[in-house]
Amino acid sequence: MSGWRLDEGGLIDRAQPIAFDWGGRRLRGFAGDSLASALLASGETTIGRSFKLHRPRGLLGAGVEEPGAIVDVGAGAWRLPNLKATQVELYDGLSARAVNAWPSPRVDALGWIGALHRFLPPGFYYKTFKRPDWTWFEPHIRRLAGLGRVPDGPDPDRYAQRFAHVDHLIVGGGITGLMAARTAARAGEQTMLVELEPLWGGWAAGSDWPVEGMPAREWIAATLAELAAAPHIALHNRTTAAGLYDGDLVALDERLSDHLAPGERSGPRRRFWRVRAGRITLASGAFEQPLLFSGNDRPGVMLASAAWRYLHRHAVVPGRRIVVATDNDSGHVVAAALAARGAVPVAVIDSRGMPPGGPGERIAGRVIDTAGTPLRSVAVALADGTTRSIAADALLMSGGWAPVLHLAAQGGAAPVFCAARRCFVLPDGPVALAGMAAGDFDFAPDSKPQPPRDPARAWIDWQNDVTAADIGIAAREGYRSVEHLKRYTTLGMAPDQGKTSNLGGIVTLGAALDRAAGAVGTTRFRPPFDPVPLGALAGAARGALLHPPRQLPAAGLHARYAAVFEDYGGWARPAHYGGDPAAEAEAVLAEARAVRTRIGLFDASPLGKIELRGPDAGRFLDRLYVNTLSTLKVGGCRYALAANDHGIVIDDGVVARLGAEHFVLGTTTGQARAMFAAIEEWLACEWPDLAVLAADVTTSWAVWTVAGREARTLLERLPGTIALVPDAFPHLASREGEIAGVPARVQRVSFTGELSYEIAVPAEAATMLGERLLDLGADLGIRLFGIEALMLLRTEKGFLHVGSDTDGATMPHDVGFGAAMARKQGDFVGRGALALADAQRAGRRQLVGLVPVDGDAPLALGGHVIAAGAPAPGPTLGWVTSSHPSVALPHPVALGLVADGPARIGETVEVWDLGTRRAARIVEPCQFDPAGERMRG
Amino acid sequence: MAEGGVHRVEGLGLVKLRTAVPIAPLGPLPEFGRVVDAGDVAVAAIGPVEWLLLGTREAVQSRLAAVAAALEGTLHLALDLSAGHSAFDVTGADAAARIAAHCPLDLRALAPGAVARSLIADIHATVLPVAGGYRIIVDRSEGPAVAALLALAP
Repeated sequence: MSGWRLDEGGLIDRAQPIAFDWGGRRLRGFAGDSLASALLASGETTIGRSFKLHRPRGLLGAGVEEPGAIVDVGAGAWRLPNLKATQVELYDGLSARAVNAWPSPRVDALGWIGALHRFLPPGFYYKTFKRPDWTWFEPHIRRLAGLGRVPDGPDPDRYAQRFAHVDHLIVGGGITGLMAARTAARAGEQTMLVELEPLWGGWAAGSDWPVEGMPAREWIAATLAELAAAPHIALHNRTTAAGLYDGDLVALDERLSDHLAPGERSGPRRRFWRVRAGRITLASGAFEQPLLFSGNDRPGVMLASAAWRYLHRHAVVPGRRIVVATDNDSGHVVAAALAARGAVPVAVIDSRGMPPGGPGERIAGRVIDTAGTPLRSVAVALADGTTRSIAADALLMSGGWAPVLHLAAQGGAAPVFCAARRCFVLPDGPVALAGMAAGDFDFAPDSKPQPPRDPARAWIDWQNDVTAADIGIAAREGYRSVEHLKRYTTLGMAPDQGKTSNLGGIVTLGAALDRAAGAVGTTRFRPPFDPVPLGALAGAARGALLHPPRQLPAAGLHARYAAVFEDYGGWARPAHYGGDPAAEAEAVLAEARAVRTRIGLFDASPLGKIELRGPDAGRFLDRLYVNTLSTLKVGGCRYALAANDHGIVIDDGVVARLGAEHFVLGTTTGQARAMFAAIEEWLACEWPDLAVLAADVTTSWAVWTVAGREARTLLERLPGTIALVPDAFPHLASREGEIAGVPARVQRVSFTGELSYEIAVPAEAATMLGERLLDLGADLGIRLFGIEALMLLRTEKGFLHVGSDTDGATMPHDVGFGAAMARKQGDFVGRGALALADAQRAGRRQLVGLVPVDGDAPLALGGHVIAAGAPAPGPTLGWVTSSHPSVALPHPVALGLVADGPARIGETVEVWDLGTRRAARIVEPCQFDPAGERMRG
Repeated sequence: MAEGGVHRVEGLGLVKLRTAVPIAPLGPLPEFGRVVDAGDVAVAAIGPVEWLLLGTREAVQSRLAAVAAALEGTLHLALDLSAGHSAFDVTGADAAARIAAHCPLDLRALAPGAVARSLIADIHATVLPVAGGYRIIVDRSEGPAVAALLALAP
């Protein structure tokens, strides 16, 4: 193909010449060019290499349907891989290169792979790379095949997102879409019209095709002006309708600044829209389909419609000796258009019979082969049975049309095959189709297409190197379903998603199976219609805003004390203090030691708090929790364990009774919202007869935990109305009153094993109270302690941490609640499941303590517990769930889930972790102050 | 009203009420999804038997006491959750676009007198129109994230 530029015409701006870099060569185009049109005008024929076989690829299409001209654009962090040259708009300084080709697409070092085609049939990787192991081959294959390189750094661009609600969404800004939008505008509908190309008008853009008595280019301009003046019409070109999802949600990908030189860009690069529309009209046109003949993939072979677009939009003609081959009338329209602009085809070949008079030699026949790379000649089988060769550098083909019905089909509508037009069409459904998308065209193709002479050289999928022979092989191997065929052969995968290959593949499979194409059916249409950058999907959800952790009400106080924050249960919480993550171990030990010896202060604000009121609140809690809570006295607290209806432990916490009909439930941090949702669901759906109301008040209250033998001394220094003497405020009691001038709820509970008070105050008083406690406790040696120290302390005590010491199979009796369950009279969530055989079987993994007996280092967290001397890796008895050094005991402490653990207490086992073995003794979970004298003191 | 943009609302009082019986001190209650003025507080119906009282801290606390007294003996929840929430006013010509960047709500339907619960990114939010824009009420712990999101140019 020797493309060239006409001296006039097109929608380019000849006053704005543009220089760009193509694989290290400096080329020129004009504003309004695509990279493809500029390359074509520069005489470039081979633009890329195919994915599997590295076969040379030219331009088959001119837009989103292009399967072969895949390029990388930009450099460094701005490098964008896997783009279609037809969709890259030219800007000054653009740097682009072919993918999958080195050193150039014309001379590719791996081009020899194509010669191995016959040895690389569909599914060859399933059949060939079995020994020694697939993983040995995989990296080599990845290097040989590919679609570009990922950027070298984090994406420097910004991406916006937007939700929109409109009366009417029209997809496709061609003549049909513009007409639909005009009708909507005149009807006053709030309408969004989107067009994936930069130019409006679709195939008619730049042409003089008559529309309502006007040349198309004038009609398009006039219609756009009318639409732009209508305040309720939103026009978005460069916008791809990527997908239709449940509830008729349409995803749009708008390219805001990709077409600008980097120095001219400002604001977001793309905007990802989620649009809900009262109605959707799909006016997305149709894709021309290729003809099936040997050698149809040579650079120089192009869809006739692509030539039309290059001619009218960019004033580019694809060759000097053009042959048009068609099986329908549209090829003649293109031939006439080229001739009208002075590019008379040397021949027009029609497989239906002798074409009527027109430009160029008229030939009844069909193309059977080609020669040359790039194209040099075309072999034609004539209607009289003879063949002839025609010299050509461009072959424009038309094998019929396929409506672009992807978006509507993604919604679930089933396409049906129309034999007369040899394509799939859709009846109107939730998405209305209009124009060519609805199959409204008169280009009936040859009703008797002939199979290619050499199927192994007749390409169906240009991008993934699938030939007619490959489909035949798959059919012979038993692939009857087109879905299976797609996966086996890779037909229609990757960026082009089969826009030019699916129909041919289906027809060919049908022929191989002796089935009509309609009986073969289509593969499932799935979004996206065209690739969407991950950045657009992420939008603002990146970096600190990807999963922004919830903030403590006293976050500033913690920061002033050099807290090292980590994400615990979705909250940014102090792991430890001191500001040096590398010194975590020392900091944690010092904090834990302060609690064991004097006093510590801990921010427990994120623990869930759920208010429960109503005369049936006690009954409800008895059903919700494994243990009984209705017997709790006003002013008391009780530990509670919750299971789901499979009997699996899901949460625990402390329940306080503030009044006869008033409870406050404590939950774990991570499960607070889930527990509240579960409570709402139980009350609304299962037990609406219970007179109970609930509210999640977690963040209205901040909670400071004061723990250590000096805790009471410190609290007594604060002004308040709550009596703290042990007789008035014993362990597991709850009191309300005022502390430091603010309302307070105080519970005497302990997760450290020390004397401990949890003081809840309104969240806005968190910092004030924290500062006062630190001030007043300074002489007592008070120290802030973080999550890691808390975990150490509670592990010494053997206190359960749901989520760490439990998993998706742990039941209440696995963590010591067997007796409580046995005592409980009534039903509770999960009780039924706990009677099942699996719950009763021997060998359940149950909570125990573990003490290493061969050294001072803590056991490996997650290490497998195995019988002493047992081979490893091998059958496991369980694993270590918590493990820490100890500040109160002469040895490290650990908890674990071990098969029949309580029955093994005293047994010596081994803990295996990635090849290391440690000896450990199984002990009771609580290894420090088992009588609880310190916390009850 | 401050100039257009995103402004944190200081001192907003918020009381949550759940009850199935009339709340005499508040007068006629709005239909679900609507807000009515009840003197110095606004009453927003955010669920079938769920209301928010919005106003100054002092106003909502005063009403809370009256409501609690009126509902004494009936099944109800009346909680001052002011400390647990953050509120932002998003105003100006780009207010709707700024919110629509993160919120799936159809703001066309959120005319004066309406209230809706929705999401800002993945964060639960209550949204209601105010003069020149919208008020976004979220959990206190998620206020910083919402502020950062709304501050992004739409």
